[in-house]
Amino acid sequence: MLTIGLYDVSKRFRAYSSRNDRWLRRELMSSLRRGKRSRDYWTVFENVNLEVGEGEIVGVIGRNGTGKSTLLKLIAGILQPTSGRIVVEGSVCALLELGVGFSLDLTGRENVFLYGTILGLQECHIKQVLPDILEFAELDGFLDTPLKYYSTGMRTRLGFAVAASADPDVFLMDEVLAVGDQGFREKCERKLQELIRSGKTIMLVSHDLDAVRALCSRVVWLDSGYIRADGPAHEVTSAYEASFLEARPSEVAT
Amino acid sequence: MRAGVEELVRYRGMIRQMFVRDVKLRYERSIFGLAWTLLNPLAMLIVYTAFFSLVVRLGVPRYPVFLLSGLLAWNFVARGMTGVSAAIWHNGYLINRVRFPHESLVISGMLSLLTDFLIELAVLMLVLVALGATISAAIVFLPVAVVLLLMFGLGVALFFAVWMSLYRDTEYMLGIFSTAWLYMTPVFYPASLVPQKYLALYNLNPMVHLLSLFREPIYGGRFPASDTIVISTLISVGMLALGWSFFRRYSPQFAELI
Repeated sequence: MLTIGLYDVSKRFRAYSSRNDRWLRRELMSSLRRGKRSRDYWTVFENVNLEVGEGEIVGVIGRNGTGKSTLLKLIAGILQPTSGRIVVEGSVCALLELGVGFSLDLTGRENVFLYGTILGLQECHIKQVLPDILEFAELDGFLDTPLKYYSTGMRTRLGFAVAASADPDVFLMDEVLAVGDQGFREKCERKLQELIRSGKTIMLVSHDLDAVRALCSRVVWLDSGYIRADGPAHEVTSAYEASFLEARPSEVAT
Repeated sequence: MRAGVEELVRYRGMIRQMFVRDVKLRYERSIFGLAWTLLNPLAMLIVYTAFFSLVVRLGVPRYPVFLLSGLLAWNFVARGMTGVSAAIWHNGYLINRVRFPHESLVISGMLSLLTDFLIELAVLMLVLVALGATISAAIVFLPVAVVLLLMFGLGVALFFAVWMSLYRDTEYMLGIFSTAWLYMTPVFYPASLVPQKYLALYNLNPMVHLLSLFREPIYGGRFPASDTIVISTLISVGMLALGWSFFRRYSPQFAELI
């Protein structure tokens, strides 16, 4: 069964030289200069088509700035496509960054509720899974300490633990595996395997090709603005690696 | 619109958690938190009372009560307009990484303001008693007045939250606008001082009617006139509908705009 579908999706961003340019003055000037009409747009996707079935684990790879995060944001509904249609069946949990919305002045326990509800969890559900979250995050004794006294590792662990307790139909993850020490990383991967077995649809953006090969059955390779390859994990990741080797000699030549 | 309401109901936990966070940070974790909330209206009271009863003699009896019964309601709306409306702009990072109904940021902000407002109202009642005034039975109308004011303030905050995220100029314009609006509203002076020929124009200001909802029961000791109640209800519902529909139209673009 189909879970995610992108049909002829294009995404353009208006290019601002800096965020300070959001002033009326500039807006007026640019409408006066309308004659030239060379509005600066920056195209991230051009007519992208992609279908993901229920329970599929899809890795998304590509160089920096090829639109991997934008793809996840479009599917999550954080961004709207400029044209085309995006269909998503069921509930989505997008983890583009762990612990966004944490409040440093609140305690670990309070933050579990704050972050959990921001991710769309119900308070009663959080109450139920609170022991699991705390056990997973390994925070014994720091539960009622404000987050500002936590180490970065502790914050990330807490973020992952809350996010992993979510129960959506679709998980979108952006580099969330690149967290913590070796031990915690393995724990995260085990948790991910568990989610995979429970039949969730997962899209995973990562630069870690070994992890992608280990977890995903299918891989999508994004190049600037289009899907360069889409197929079995080993094939696509090998082709991706090969593209780096190809690129090198030409760099030497120039 | 129904889908919007359903989504907000689903995210009521988030609204509550953000509200709880604000209140905790303001009151629980700061020793003087509550004191500041109380001190603020008291300080305003002293400054304005001194000015308007010693320098500009308006001849309004029980001026402190007259002033506060209008000023508190005015402050609620003004802070919603200039402060809470920045919630979208300030939470750009969150908006760009998580999908949630953006209204919840504005709603939780308004609820924190409401907490301050209710505490200030309670202080006002104490001042009333201390001044030896009798509190009339008309104060049972106040909950209705609070609900109407909250709806109006929320509509205003949602409306300007969009402008805040569209243009950085908005913040500065709102500073000027709120000052002008304050003096066109009978906060410091009674509406009866406005010349007859400008009165029709003056009454177009929605805050004129909303302030009466508070001033009549607290200062006048009587229920607001029925046409004031009807007009205020229409204004509040209308402003909320306008602000919210405007907000919903731009909400999907916030992640890009900010």
